[in-house]
Amino acid sequence: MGVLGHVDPRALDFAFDVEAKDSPAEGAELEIREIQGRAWCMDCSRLETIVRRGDACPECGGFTLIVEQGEELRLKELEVV
Amino acid sequence: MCGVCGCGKGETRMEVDTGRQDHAGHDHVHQDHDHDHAQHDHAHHDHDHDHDDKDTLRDDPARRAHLVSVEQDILGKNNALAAHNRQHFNSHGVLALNLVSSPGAGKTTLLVATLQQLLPAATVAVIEGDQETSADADRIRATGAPAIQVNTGRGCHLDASMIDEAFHRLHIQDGTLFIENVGNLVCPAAFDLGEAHKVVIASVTEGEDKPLKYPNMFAASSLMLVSKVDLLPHLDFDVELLIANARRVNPSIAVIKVSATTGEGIDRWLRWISAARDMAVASA
Repeated sequence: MGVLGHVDPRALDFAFDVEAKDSPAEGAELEIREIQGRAWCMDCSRLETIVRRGDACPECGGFTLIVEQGEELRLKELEVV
Repeated sequence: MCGVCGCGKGETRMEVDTGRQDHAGHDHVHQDHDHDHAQHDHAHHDHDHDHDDKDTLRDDPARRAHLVSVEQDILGKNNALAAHNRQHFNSHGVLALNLVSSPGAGKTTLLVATLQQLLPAATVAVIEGDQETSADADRIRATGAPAIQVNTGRGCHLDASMIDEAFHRLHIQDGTLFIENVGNLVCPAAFDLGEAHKVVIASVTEGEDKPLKYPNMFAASSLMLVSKVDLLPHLDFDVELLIANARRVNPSIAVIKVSATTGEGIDRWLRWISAARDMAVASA
């Protein structure tokens, strides 16, 4: 789950528990792996790490950032028990 | 419950009647378009991620043996349907605009003023999303434009399947489809409906920091309409600060200041729509 995406990990965790109840997934653990935000700075031509949208480039302070990573929301693996 | 935002599902209701009287004998041309959702390709970016956390399933050999690789986008189903809608809009010569804002920013009022300018010359249709009531679709239909109200019940956003169903009922060809999303600056940002553009409406009675508080929506939008600008003389509101904040989260967002009450900026908004239509048709 990318940190710049639309989903709040706590909300997903809460929804997962509610939805899993009375289903084959009841009692299953949800493991969320966080993916950091990376953005290309148009001002200094560098790939930088940003914590949230609207952050300035940590290198030059500019705001013309193109987000390259951090919006992911993927189901990677299921553990079968 | 919606796994993305926690809102309710399964209570969506959709009007059958568009309010248009000319359905009899209407030709609905379905050009060939790909319905094969299973073949839909999602762009997969390979990124290297460092996981320092050793307490994960992958790090336990006994449990790793039971792992099934899934590799599916959570929003993949919606995105596949949105791609289908986009193809459908293109083949019908339809420009689809997804209007998003907080509740009360003036989406419906602005849309009514827009339709009054576009009609009767242009072909238009409206899909109205609200949790409850058909009040907004009634206001739209009063302009003469066909409209379908989608009530999302406990849901807080429109999704691509609702648009697919509503679009089939509207029978629009070579025109502009306005989708008025549920008043909410959060979840509608995550759900692609197949639109050509999201248009975010921010009113001057809100705070200048809206783009920083709800950055995903402003990042996903092509155009920001700054609405209710006729009220500016009565407010302590810094329009330039709002625009600077929007460009902090989206350097390429276009901005038009409008007032549905005085008509200010409506001409520029209509020119933007016209240019977007030309682009959509040219690249369809």
